[in-house]
Amino acid sequence: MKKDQSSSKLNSLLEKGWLGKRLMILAVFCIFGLHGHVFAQETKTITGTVTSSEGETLPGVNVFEKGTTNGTVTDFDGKFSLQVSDDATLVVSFIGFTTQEILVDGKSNFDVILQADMTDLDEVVVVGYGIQKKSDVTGAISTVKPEELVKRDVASVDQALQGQMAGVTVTQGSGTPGESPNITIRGLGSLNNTSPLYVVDGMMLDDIAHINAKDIESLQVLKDASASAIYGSRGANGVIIVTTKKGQAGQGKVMFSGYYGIQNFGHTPELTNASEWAMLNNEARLAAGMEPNFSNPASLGEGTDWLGAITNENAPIQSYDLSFSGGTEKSTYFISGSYFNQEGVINKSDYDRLSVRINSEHRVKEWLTVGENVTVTTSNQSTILEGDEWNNLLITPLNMEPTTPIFNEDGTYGVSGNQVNNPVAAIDNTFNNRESFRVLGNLYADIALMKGLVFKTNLGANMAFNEDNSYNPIYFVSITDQNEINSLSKGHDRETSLSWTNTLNYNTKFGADHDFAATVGTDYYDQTFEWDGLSVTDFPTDEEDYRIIDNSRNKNEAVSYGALFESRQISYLGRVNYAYKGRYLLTANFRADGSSKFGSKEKWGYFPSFSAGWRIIEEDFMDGVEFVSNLKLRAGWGQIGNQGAIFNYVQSTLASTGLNYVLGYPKSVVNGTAFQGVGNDEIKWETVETTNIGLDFGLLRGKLSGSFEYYIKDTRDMILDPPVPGQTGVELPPWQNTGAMKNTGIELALNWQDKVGIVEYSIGGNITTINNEVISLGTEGNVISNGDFRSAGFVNRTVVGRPISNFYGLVAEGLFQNQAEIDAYYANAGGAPSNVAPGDIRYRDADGDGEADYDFIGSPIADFTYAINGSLSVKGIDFSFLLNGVQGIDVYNGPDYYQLNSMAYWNTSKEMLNRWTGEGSTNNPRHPRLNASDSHNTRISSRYVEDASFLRIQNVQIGYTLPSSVVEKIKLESLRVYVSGQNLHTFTEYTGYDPEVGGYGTEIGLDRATYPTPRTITFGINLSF
Amino acid sequence: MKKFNILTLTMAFLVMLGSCSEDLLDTPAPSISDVSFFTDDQAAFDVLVGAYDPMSRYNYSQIHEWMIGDIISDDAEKGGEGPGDWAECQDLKEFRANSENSILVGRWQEPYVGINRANKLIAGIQDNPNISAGVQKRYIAEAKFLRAWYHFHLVKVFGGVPIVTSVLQPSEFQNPRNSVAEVYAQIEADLRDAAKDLPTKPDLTAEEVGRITKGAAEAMLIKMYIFQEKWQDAATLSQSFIDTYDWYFLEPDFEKIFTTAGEHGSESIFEIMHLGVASNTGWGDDNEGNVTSIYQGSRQIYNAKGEIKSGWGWGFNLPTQNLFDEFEEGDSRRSATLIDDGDVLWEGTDDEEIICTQHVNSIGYSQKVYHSKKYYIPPSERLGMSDASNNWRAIRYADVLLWNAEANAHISGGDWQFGVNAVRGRESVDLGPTPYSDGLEAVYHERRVEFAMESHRYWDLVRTGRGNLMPGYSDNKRYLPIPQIEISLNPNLEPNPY
Repeated sequence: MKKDQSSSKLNSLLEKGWLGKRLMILAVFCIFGLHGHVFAQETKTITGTVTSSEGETLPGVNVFEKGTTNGTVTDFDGKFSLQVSDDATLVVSFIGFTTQEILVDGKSNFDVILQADMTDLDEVVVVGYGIQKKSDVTGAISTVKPEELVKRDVASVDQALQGQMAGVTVTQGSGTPGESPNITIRGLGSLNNTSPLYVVDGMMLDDIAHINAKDIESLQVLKDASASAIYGSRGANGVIIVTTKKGQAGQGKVMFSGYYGIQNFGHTPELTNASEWAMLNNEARLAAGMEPNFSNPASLGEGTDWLGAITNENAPIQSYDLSFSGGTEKSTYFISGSYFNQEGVINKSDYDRLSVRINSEHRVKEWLTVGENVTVTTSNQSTILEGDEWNNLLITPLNMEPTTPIFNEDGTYGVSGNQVNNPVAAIDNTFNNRESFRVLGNLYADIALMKGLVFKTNLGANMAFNEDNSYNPIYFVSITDQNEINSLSKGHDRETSLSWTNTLNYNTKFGADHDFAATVGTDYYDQTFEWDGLSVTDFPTDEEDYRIIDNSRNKNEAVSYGALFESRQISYLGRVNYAYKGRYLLTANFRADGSSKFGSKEKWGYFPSFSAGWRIIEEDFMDGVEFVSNLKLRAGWGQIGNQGAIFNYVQSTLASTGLNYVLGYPKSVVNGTAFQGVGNDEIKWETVETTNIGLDFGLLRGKLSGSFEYYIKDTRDMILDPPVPGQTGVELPPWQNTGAMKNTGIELALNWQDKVGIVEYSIGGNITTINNEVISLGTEGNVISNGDFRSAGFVNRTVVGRPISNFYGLVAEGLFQNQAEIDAYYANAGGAPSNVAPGDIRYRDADGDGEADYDFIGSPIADFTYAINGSLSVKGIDFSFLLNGVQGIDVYNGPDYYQLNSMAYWNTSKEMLNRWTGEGSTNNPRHPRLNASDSHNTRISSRYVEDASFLRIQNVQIGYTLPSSVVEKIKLESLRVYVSGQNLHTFTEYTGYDPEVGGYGTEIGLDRATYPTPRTITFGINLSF
Repeated sequence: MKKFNILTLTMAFLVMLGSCSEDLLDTPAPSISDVSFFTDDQAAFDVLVGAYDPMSRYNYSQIHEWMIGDIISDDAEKGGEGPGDWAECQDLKEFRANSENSILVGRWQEPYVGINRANKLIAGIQDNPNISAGVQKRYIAEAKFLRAWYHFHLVKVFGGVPIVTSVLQPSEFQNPRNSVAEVYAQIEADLRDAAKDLPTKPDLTAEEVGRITKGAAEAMLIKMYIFQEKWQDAATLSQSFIDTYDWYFLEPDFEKIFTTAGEHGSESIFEIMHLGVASNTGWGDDNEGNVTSIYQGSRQIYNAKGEIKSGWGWGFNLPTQNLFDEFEEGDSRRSATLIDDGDVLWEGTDDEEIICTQHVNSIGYSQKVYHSKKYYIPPSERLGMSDASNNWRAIRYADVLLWNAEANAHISGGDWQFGVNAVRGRESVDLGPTPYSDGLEAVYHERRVEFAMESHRYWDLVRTGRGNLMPGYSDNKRYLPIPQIEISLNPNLEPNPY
């Protein structure tokens, strides 16, 4: 039996193809391995001393032969001795100092003087439309090292950004394979669009989910206006600039990396089993004077584990990347391909993606360089129903009674007594997928016009095609869960954006002390977005192969839709940088944007910014201060726009069709048209004004480095559609620039790195606080309600003077312990309602009028978010971890409506075993008495608001890099194997699936049971030759 | 070489500037704006249909009508999964609603959507040379009927509301409430105007069935008189209606009125039209199906073996024993209105269904409850849940007969017996003369049983001063609270003393 299972597992793995792929890769290794040959080499012993430029001897310095693991460490007196070959190159490295390479060239004694390390400061940072030395940067810019991004074995780059940078909040709302997280930079600056702008190789994009992390050369985040104002009306939510890898001159290089892993649920809500639930259900019915349903609950045992029944245990995740790069002084190339596949932890959800990237760059003339980047990505995502609170496949398995079997004895699906759809049947009848095809490319040319003056032109294109397919077969589970007419829905959307950017960069130096750089440019951007779709019904068969429109018997009555949006933008931009003696730095940015989305009276927006930096470390008075290696103070101010918050065509009052009515005998649906909205020809971008103060520092020879930022971010002209009085009959209130919001916060990032003996380690962390306050919502008294749950009212309420989207409802203070308490409570309301009895919730009633008070009952905006990371390496072994956490955040636990329901109608939380059973038994409003006719305890109240602070072990990785001596034998350059864990554990009090709930717009922190992020263990390999 | 560089530089700048023509910033919307819409009669028709549309919206006319008309009254209990299901409705039932009750928001806003659409139509076609004169006349009459209809749906729920007879300008957004009398006066004026220019029911072509007729406008006008207790006006107009419009007469078979075959029958004066289509079974305003049937359907049925199975429905709006008891013994309208446990529907056909009311009778009501039959549809007519195709019977000829009787009962020497006994004498009912000797008692009884579960009861009670038949009712509860959100947006709206 066991054997059968394992062989069938093997078969299914072979079918899935992954094993085949692994075998192929293994074969590739073997072929390269056999190819190896060995050089004969002569060796000799060399000795030396390592000192600092100040003359102190340096103990613990790494000295090794380049390209090998042959090496040693200097002793207490800074001396070393090593056996090397004659033609070897020595590499001398020490934390806080610049690494030196020295040719042995026959010599046998070396006096090495290491210079204090300035590399960190001389790093180059990509800023908008150019690059800058990191030491000259005056705005708030965070950088992630690409090696940190590839460490995380996740589907996409955006997920890998979690916890990497202060001020960058990444929330993985749904963990459905292929789903992108929500990224915000420095809080929520808008009630509408809060997504940052992505710029990939100069092309402005709305997301980077399709970019392969291993293709990334650098990733910068421009956080404040002084950095991002050069992106004008699209920069307000911050800008993430990605530069992809290019080939390097030199020998061709082949790199391969791959991993395979398994995923499982991290946490699932704890539910009662069949006998416990039956007991609770009986109790609830008895309390309501009804007959109990179960004569002997204890005999029912565990019952059905509904979540287990749709779980894909040990769901595989795998990724393989192969790249080829190299080139000459004149031409370089980089070619890569990658395949990613992830199955969901719930059946019928999965994602796979194939992407190819090509880059080459050619120096055609001394003064002319041309190049291109092309990325082609295709993906396929299958999803299950989530996001609603009725038939969501994360909710129905919690709600379904454990006493119902998955299948009846006759093979039909088990039917809930409470109209919950059988989750197994629902999964069986789910056929949703989304196929995407995307091409992103750019062509560029650099023309050196004269010394210091470069003209650059960049033509970019982004084309995305998506197709959604959804098929609903004929099935019968029960009279309320059946489908008698099969149907197919197809949707297509197409996005084409083109950009053409021209810049002139000029760099010069006046005398020894004055550095000057200027950039001017133009930018043209054109985006077309078109979608259409149709659905047809009545297929002769549900066979998978027949799901095409032409097989529908009803195709002439297809329901169809389609829309087109086009927008264009013309921009002029400029920047001036000035540095005096490398000490005093000034930057000014300017951009003018004309956009077709703006009303005709507001066609152009102007966005200036100024910032200054003072590199205190360069001052004479810092000369003697040994323990400080870097100190820079920065300050900036600027205005940026958020154009993304404007929908297209809001300037006009447009006719909507499809507002139909039925007429005729026989009847038919007749088209109706209405003008539902009101246009606003004065619409313009939202303006965000930011002030930023930052301090960068390096202490103890750079062992401790960090930066601190304080910012104020004022949003005004915020685009809102404040409701107009109902008596106007206006269905879609006009969009207006009328709101205001303020975000302030501090960000602190610290990093310590050092070496003890052969152990190199680092530990770092970052913390971000965000204080969000709504300053104005246009109309006075305007309240924005969102987060409708079970049509019972709204959970989120946005009002002036509070953070966006606080929870609003009754305050559940405790439980009525006896009738006297109830009578006293309702004394001024003419007596207690008949449906309240001891054990029911006591909602706060401050004024004692017998009517419960509504109030704000929680905030889904965190007090602070933080991350801690560390790494350690000893010889070839490396270890790293990343923890990230959110503190002071609330989540409204939607599913608890069901699982804490007094009716015990749906399966209940284990917590309900602690329900109120008599005076004094409990006063916890989460656990009122059971009562099958309850209507009192389910109001939107603080009962469902939980502290969702968490600390998550986001990533732990242990790797081993094989010694070169071994690797060289198989003719490889490097070979590393590792084990990595994602989302290993979450420390939280939250009882739902996952405390990381997220949200969009003004619905935030309402948990409708979204797909949780799985716990993942992967095994991987990186090699190059 | 230098010369070449300067040339290149100049060219580069020219390229940069040339790329930026301002004309590029004009991307006209691919939809038509209101400025240029009313170009021909067809465009006017589209907007006319758009003005009918809100009548059939599910949150407004479909659910709210019976939620207030039946559930709040003594005819029904709320039902559903249990008391906690749709708790805000239960609050209304218990007269404990507050102004935050989200049901009221839709009830306030949606009729105004209809009013605005009607006003936009009038503004767009009146004296518009692109629209033919006949079309102008008829469509404006229909728009006025609709405007009156929507205002009535506001005034009967909230009392005096702001009257809106034009597309409001921002300066008019915060107009205060008009009095109840002013609202009715406006409604009457609109209905009178409409009646003049509307075709009669026999005038309608097959394609036009469902459009508003002269008869509908006059019947509405009678209803307005009744609501205002203008007994003489009501008596006169209803009498001329009865005498003149001989194409209206009672459907002999009471039960048939509510079947598909009974739609637009001889008794039908106005119906709100619904049609489910297989290709659009979703929820939302683009679905023209009726949701009343799924809401009111039984949660449970019995199979042939007597086992309880899931039924097609959510079990809302449950008629009470109190209503059951109102029917005289032998009144066949009772079995056409109420469904009891074990009742077999569509017996002997493929649609046969045995209804189970055990669940709804186990959720804690103090009296026995039934299911409502008038909008129950047979399995063969069920599509998706939101796609029932049965029309809402808004005004029946029996209404006119009983209004005539009610008005006459208030007029000394008026012949109230005619209307009452006509309804009782319907072929399938055939009850003989009313046992009541008091005219009003006779009318009240007859209206209750004739129109049970057709969403009239609440208003019949409150307009006749019998609200105290509903536990928790007091006169200040006749009109429901004005939604708080509306008061915030328009502080000139005075709250109701609920």
